[in-house]
Amino acid sequence: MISHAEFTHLTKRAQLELTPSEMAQFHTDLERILTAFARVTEVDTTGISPMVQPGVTTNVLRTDQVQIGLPFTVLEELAPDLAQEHFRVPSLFR
Amino acid sequence: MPVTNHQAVNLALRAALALNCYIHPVSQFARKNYFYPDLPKGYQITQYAYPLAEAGFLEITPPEQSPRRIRIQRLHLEEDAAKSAHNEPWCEPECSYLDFNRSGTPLIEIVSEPDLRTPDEAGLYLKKLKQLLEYIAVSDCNMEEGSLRCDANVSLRITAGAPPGTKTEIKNLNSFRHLKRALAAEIDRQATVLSAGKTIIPQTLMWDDHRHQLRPMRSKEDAPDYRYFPEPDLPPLQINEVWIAQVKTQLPELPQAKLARFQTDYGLRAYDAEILCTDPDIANYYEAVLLSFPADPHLAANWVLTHVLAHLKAIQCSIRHFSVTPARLAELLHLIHDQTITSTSAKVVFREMTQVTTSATQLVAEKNLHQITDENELLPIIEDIKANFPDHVERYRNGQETLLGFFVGQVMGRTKGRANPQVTHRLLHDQLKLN
Repeated sequence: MISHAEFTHLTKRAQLELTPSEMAQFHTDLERILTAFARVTEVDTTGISPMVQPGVTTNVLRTDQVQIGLPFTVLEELAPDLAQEHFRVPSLFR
Repeated sequence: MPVTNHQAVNLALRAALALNCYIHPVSQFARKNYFYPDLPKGYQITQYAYPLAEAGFLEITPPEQSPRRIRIQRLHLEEDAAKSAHNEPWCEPECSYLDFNRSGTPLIEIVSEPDLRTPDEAGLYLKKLKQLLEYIAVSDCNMEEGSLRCDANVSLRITAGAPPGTKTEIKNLNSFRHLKRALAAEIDRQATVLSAGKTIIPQTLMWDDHRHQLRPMRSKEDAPDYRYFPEPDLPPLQINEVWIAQVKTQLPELPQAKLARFQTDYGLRAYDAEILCTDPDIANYYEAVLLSFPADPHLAANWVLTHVLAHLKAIQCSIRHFSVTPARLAELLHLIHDQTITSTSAKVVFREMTQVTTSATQLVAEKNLHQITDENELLPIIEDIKANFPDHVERYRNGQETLLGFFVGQVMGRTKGRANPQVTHRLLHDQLKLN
């Protein structure tokens, strides 16, 4: 079970701004998800090594070759705010 | 869709081997989720639970101490994020600027264990690491361009033997000077906080070299929960023995091995060998000189260490692009070694060689710099000096033997440095006693 305080903390960590009804809805959903996972953890996995990926392929590699990206003029149009040939954003310092 | 760059894996393996790491037979990429302007897609492809390599070491020798192993915790591959600028003169306050040109390119992250004790040791470790990476051609390690960057963690102990205290991290230090200054400042700050009985807040800091101060980027409270999970778009990397063996064959001689060889094979002092081996290009230049001039490795080392490096520093040129090639320098060294010219004349010839393409032999002929070893040529000069400085001669005869240097200087001055020093010494020694 997940407490209201824990759920509120999670929303803060995930940078989510939720309305009270969304809070209630997602709290219920999350509890259902956690309950389902709690059931999975009941399975005995002794001797089974963890699987990092379901696929069987390994070592899909490409050669070290330069590929031309988007021209600057296109990027210029895409950029919300461009200055000094950089993307300008609000300061990363608080 | 992303695809792993084969060469990036090869270079990472090369670095892992040079750092004595264990290479995992299987490693896996992971998504590190965070929302920050330098990474607009919302996650970084990195390695987390299954890194490429772990448990290595790099040896450093702090001044007047025995060599010490700094343990490498892990070495993994990841993608780079955008380069951000905040403190440049052209930056407006309250704004950050992002350059995405390097975003998505592969990099290796090398994490050391907390084995470094002082800012100087941290500087030494970074210097060694840089040297190693340059040797094995994994990176040009240009710190100004961001090819080698460093995050440094600081934690203090209340007393010796106590567990390390809460740590803070200083991000993106891009020069040795910044690293040392930032570490010293952070050690001071933490010591002040702890001495006042307060606690250290875990936080990420940035060094502002313009203001000589640390600025907090984010505290742990704001730190993102990265929610790592296996990267679904990239299959695992399987590194078998054959692949490792292939990379091993491409590894050049490592700095430590070269240093030892320079001392044993060429009889160089540890200090001289160390400087020659600092940069693989300098070491290669030295050995190329020896190929054409094997007669006197000491003389060659002395010339590379003093005249060549000083000149390169003065003209801000790399040894790779130096107009006095190893073969040209070797020719000059031959002329010194077989006593065709004196070391004084050699300096004149060397200066000239840096300006023109003429060979050392030609320059010696053109400037008439052949060494004077003929006693009959030197004796009249000595007689003339004796006649001009009777007082000095008298004092010398009365036991002031240090004046010999004065007379040598006079002979050298009159012959423009061409007099053979040994012959000059012998003749002066004999002639000054005669009336």
